[in-house]
Amino acid sequence: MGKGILKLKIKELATEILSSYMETLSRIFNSDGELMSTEAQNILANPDDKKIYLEALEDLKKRRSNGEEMPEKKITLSSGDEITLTTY
Amino acid sequence: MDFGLTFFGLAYLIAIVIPGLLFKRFYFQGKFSKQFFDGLFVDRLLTNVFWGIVIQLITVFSYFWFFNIRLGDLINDINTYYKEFETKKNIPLIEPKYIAHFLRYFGANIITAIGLGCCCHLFVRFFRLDIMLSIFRFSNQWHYYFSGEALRFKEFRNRLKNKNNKVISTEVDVVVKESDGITNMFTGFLTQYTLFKTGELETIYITDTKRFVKKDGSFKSKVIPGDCFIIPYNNILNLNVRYNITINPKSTRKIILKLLTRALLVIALLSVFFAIIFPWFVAPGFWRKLFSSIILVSAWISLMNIALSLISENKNEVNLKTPLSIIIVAITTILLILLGLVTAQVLTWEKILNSMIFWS
Repeated sequence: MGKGILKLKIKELATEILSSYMETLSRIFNSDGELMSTEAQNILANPDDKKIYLEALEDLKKRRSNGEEMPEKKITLSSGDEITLTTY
Repeated sequence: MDFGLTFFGLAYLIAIVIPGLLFKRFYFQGKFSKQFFDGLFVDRLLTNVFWGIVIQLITVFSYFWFFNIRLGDLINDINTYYKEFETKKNIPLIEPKYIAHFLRYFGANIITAIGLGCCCHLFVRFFRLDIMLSIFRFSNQWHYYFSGEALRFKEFRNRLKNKNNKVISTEVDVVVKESDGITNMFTGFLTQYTLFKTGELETIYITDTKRFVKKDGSFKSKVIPGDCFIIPYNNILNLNVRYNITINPKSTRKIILKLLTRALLVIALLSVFFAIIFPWFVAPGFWRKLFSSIILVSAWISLMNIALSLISENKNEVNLKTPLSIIIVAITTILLILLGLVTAQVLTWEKILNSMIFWS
């Protein structure tokens, strides 16, 4: 049982280190960036965060169309992180 | 005469046009690769020739300096060769050292062209020179507008810069004309786009797409089931782009982090040259130079891995998430640096072990 957990931990660690190297290489050689940031990609990948994010954007869009310039909205993600959004 | 023309034509192609072409191929990369084909043939040829000459000059000076060749010796060798040809009326035998020099120089020329092209591109993009100065701006305007980088242009009054904000996603409202003449409006997150060879927009890819439908006199959005919605640009009547931005309030910690990031990027750019070039000066033999250089570049990537994880502003962008993984990568980096230096015969394992015993 103990050995199994250790093996799993080692495998997790190896995967993390390997993917970190791949990510570093991609960040060095892909300085042009993606259209969607990693932050947004992660939010949209999580169904709960996605719902909160889309609702916030909808609210911002409405407020903007009502004449408010760069309206702001604070949202809390499932990880506990708070982000303040606006639209331009 | 024909031989002369062919020979000089070929020499011109190899010496000037090919390095210039390679430089431009690697400078216009990624989202800006289509600019390589952009412009009139004469324009492209002239810029190829210009960059070809620049690369030749850099290679000549560095090659002469590296192999300790004097220009006077080379001129003497050429004169001797020419005199022999003139007096004896036959082509003198070429010594193997000249062939070796020619091959080495040709390789150095290609590496210089590719390396310079990549470095110039990374330099312009890392330091946002293309955003700050229009002279460095790439012709793919779509990238700047779709990614939100255009918001940092002077024309947009630097709103992002002042508020320390960051565009995290781009939404588009697209009005599409169908084949039967009816128009439809779609909205979603812009995730990708493709360009024609000429640089014109070919297709856009949107996700989480909604279609606006008229219901009871008002427009309502209806979710389109699917992962990716592809719209050819020739069907698009108009396009509205909306940037979703995160506001990051300025703090002393963030300012220090930003300064640290900039300093690190400068050090990183310079240290990679050190990792590549250093072994070629100190290591004996070609293979030791090459392996040592490869090992030191690997150590540099490993170091960048740790640095990017430590300075990352966003938790989600951190590569190494646990302290244990940072420690393992740090040990790997130290071992790679030592291995690189031992391969280059700058250090020996004995010396390293002795100094470790001394310090302990």
